[in-house]
Amino acid sequence: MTIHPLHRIVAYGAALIIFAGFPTMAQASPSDPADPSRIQYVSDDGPGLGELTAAYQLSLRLAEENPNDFGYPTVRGGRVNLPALTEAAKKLTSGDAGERARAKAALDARPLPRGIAKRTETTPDDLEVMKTLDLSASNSRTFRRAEEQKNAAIDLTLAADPDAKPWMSYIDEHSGKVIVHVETPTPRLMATLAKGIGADSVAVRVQPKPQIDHVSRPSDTPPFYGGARIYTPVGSCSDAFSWHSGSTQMMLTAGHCVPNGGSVSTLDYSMGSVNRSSEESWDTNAGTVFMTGQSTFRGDVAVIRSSYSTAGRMFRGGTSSTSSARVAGMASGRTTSGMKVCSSGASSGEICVWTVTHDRTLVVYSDLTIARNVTNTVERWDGRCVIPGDSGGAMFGVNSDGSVNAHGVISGRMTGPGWCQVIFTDIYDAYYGLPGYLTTG
Amino acid sequence: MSGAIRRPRRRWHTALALLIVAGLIASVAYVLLTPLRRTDYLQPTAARTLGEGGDPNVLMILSPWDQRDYCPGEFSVGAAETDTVVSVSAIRRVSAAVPLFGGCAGAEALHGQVAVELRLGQPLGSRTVVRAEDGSPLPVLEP
Repeated sequence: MTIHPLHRIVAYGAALIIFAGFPTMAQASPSDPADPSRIQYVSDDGPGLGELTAAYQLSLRLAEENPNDFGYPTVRGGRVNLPALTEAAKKLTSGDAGERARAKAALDARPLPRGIAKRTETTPDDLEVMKTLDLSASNSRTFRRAEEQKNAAIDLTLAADPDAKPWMSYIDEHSGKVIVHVETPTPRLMATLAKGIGADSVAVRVQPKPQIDHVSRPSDTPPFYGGARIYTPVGSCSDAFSWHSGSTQMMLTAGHCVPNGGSVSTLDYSMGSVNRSSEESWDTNAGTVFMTGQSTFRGDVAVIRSSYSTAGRMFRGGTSSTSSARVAGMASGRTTSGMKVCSSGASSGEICVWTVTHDRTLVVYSDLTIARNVTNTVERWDGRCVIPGDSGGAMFGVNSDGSVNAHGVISGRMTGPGWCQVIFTDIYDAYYGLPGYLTTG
Repeated sequence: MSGAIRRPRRRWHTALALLIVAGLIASVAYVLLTPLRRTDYLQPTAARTLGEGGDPNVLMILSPWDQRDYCPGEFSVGAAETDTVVSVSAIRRVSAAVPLFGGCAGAEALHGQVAVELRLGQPLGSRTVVRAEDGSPLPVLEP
């Protein structure tokens, strides 16, 4: 058999490229966590949480309030897996309800971790749900480490290869991996993820970056309700819910509406003011920043100290609506995938079509500001979406008696061909990060 | 005879190949030469303080804006400061040239104006604010 000279040249060339051109590929071992070829690609969001929603919400609360004792919760084999990494954490599923209550009380008695202003109360329902959790996985990274990896996935890749357009990251509820949405999975981006996060701890979803916009009722008077028009240093926004700390009356809004603090008004009233840094989480150039003395990112949220009274009610209906509903309380836990929620803002009124797709995500805006620890919802675009001026408005769920539960504060929107997403800050980030409590009606 | 038939077909193939190559070159040149971001300048027309609780070193610089919303992260403005005067430069806006990949990080414009953050070296105090381009004084508004 004879070999054509041209074929020989091609064969030598290929060999040369394989052995000389890609030395790192030749050197990578099959189990090398820095080998970018080991990074998996994902193409969908996976199934929702279904009947495990309550257990997952509780697991997130436990992990968030004790970030070095637990790993990141995942759903596997029909159960919620919450890796218990310390002896104190492992006692939570043992014994009867009394023993679990004592174990939880022991956890709660310890000093608050940095970034948590207060813990949530344990209810009898919590103790029942607790015994259904699988705490056996002990080789997991801590919740705090998982959060660091989620942030690093965007920070590192944006710095290494912005042209790859990484635009969202979050931790998958099923695999526990950090999922990074990118437009182009360039070799440099993949190498950065493998080296910085570990190839087995991260997966990539290739998806075009959607159009992303921040979003901003007409003349509210005291006592102020949520979902109304407010005027802030950057322009027109909305407020979300009434809030209070001791006797101080407050309203929640979006941090990007008051990124340096300052005065806020309604059409006829000087509502109050926001203290820079300690009561808002946004920087115009960077996006989410730590609030003073904190080490956990709290999305895009701020609290307005009101000069007037506020009420545990929220506007419902259209943009000129005067009807309102009683705010019954916070959602029973963090808003997680598959849940149905509504939005209420001054510019688009009430829209009740949203399904949550991801929670605790990082979203990169087109000006490269990053919203950290926010929640995404989506709906096929029927012509309605939140719009500028809804920023700071309310995300809520409706109870059978017509009252509403607070789910979060509108941050922005993402739009693409035929669909629209609302990005919002979970009410639990306001709870954990800000002074005070939701005011109920 | 058969040679006479093949010749025009070859010319057609050659012309098509050249057209495809020219199209590819033009596409690559377009992608390479089109800037990903465009820069525009706006002239400041007024300044506004933040009021209670706000950063005393931050002034909002206002300029007319004919769109419903805007993206604060796209805008920046600088100033030269003395003990008596703050001279405000033109407002710089860097935005996506091709909105296909762009998004907007913004708020609804109030009174047809953008409000752009200006960080000063020290609180404004009694200093005068002027427009750098022509030295004309800018009104300083209360929130």
